[in-house]
Amino acid sequence: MANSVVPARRAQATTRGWRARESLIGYLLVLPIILLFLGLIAYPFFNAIWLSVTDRIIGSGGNFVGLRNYLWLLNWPDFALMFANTWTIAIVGVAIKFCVGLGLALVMNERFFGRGLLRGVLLLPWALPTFVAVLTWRWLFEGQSGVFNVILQSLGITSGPVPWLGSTTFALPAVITVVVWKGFPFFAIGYLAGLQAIPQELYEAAHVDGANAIQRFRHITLPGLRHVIMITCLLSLIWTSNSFEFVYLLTGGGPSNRTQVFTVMTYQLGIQNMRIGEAAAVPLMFLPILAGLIVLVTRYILREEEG
Amino acid sequence: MDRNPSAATPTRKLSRRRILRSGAAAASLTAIASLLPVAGAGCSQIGLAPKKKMTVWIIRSFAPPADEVLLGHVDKWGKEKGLDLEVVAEIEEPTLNQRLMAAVESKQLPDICEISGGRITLHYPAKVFEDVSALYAEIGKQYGGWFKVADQTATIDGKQWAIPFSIDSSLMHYRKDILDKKGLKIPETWDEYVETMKKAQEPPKTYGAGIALSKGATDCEGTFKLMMYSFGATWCDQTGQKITINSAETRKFLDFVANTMYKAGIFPPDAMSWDNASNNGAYQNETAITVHNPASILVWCLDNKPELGRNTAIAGLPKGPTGKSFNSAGVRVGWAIFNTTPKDKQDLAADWIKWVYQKEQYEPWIAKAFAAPPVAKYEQMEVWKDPQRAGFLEAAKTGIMGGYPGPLTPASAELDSRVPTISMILRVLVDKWSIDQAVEEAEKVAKDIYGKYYK
Repeated sequence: MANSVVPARRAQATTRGWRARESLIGYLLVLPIILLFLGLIAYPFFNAIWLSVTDRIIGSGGNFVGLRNYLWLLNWPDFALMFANTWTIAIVGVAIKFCVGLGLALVMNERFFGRGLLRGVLLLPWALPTFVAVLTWRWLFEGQSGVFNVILQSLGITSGPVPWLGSTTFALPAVITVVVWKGFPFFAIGYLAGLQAIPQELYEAAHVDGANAIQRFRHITLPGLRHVIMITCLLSLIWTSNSFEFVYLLTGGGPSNRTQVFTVMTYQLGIQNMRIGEAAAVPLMFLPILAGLIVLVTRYILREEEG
Repeated sequence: MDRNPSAATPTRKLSRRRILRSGAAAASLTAIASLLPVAGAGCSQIGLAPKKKMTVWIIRSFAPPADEVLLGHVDKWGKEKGLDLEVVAEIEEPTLNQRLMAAVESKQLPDICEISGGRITLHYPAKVFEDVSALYAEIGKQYGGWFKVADQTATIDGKQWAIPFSIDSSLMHYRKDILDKKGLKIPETWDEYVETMKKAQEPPKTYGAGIALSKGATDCEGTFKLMMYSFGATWCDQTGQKITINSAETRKFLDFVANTMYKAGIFPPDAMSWDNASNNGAYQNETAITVHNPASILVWCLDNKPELGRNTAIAGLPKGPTGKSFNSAGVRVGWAIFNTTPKDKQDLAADWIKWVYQKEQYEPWIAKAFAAPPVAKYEQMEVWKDPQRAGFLEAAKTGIMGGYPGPLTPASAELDSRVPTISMILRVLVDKWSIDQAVEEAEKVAKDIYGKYYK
């Protein structure tokens, strides 16, 4: 009897020991990613929240000031303008990228000579480093020696240089133009892949049933691309609203604050003016909206995976 | 059942458990290995590694030939001392200044740092500078004494915190050939300036006032501030603690800029998108008839467009309604040693400063740079006999500094970083605010900053 109990207890102890070792190995395996998450995401995030409630300047300590920085921002005369600029660039930019991207995807989905080359060339704006692309556009928009003005003046369309980046009328559209140019290939390639996943039989059946091109587009193409459209638009909205280089390199937020966006404002307050307490408050003011968008994207993707 | 001691030990198979165990060990080792460079740097900091590496930060200026001379000096000195120098040479704005901000915040500062005068004052509250009073006195004694601007910039709270290396001044550059062709003379007042430029320019080919109207071009902040002083308006009083911007003189100045100068159409149409290089570019491309700039344009002309240089007349800014005109002077660059640097490297940094100040090193550099020396001995150089360059030397000795009419302080340096004068102007020109609204906002911003320093 004792001989049968001892092996059973030994087996139980062995199993518990094995499970404990397995758990330890599991924790060790996820430890690097947890450390990275804590160090690169969690710590900076909570540190930013703390900074935003202090009057800290670079190199010196600061005191707790509560919500003063947020109140200062809300009372800043150009806060509403900055908010509007950020979302105008993002929403209008995404809308135009969607239209251009979808149109190009439809063209590239057809068979024609040079289609492969065109697909490659159309990826170039997206492949080019943003810094290089934006500086090139800045040169194109340049006042007296920029390419656009030289062309317009030599064709007699304008009598003098147009201040593309220095005018309240043209500065924001100029920024949006560059944002669209840089980002439309992402949409085009995504929609091209989506188009190729739509079964051709649907189009053939619709054609047999007498549907015209617009009806086929409306009832087959758009529903077929629905998921890709949602993902690309939501992701692009997040990325574009977070972008920094376009406004910083083209206009610096000017003229005055007419193209100011929250990313450039954060940089100017924190790095140029040394007021990192106030600078930390700026992106946190926009966090609820961005967090909402991220939750939307995540839920949509998870729902699609479950479906 | 007893074990058979003579049975051979079975070969161990590759089990899932072994794979998992090995994977965990590999991941941990990788994480530790990735931290080794950081540990190595730390060891170096606490003196466990050989002390031959020094980091040197150099400002790339608008006079590249001078930069190459200075970088050559750094290289030569490093070889003579047997040092391994890591040299970072970048333009000041926005690159090196932003790098310095991050360094001050993290206390990861270079061993030798070329720094502008404004940054010395701006970062002084962070208490990162080493007291270099003894070195400052030694160099001053050896080279005939420091100019006032150098002394006032380096001295805070009775001690010196950096060694000035050059003084910068901006003066008006006029296209003498264009003015002569149209029978015009160099204007003496701002009213004359507007009229002269209206007659001299031929838009869209040329525009009279090559002055930026942009917060991104910090040059224009200096120009408009000096202009504002000539109208009798100032940001603070003589104590440098009380804000005085909300005045009738300020309103008169804003009215002149918005309703006379701007409406005269003498600014280039894209002036609101200019950066600090744009006015240089406009003058060099011969699309601007005047610019307010340091001597970097003249230095550029020597190698690229000598005729443009010969056709340039240098003069101070025009006078305002007070009958006065003002020119600026500021320490262009100096050398800072930080208190985070180990003592032995501080000594080497001091040695570098003494070495680069010697005639064999300093004169070739200052001749190609666009600034003036901060010490009396080097004003005897041949280059200052050139009448164009002589004006910059004179301005360096007599110009006013940031913080005027008060002293240069961390409060005035922080206010300057907000480019408040051009911001006020743009409120009127771009945002169509009333002059009163613009002045009131400017006062609020200034008081908010000064309120942190002076209760």
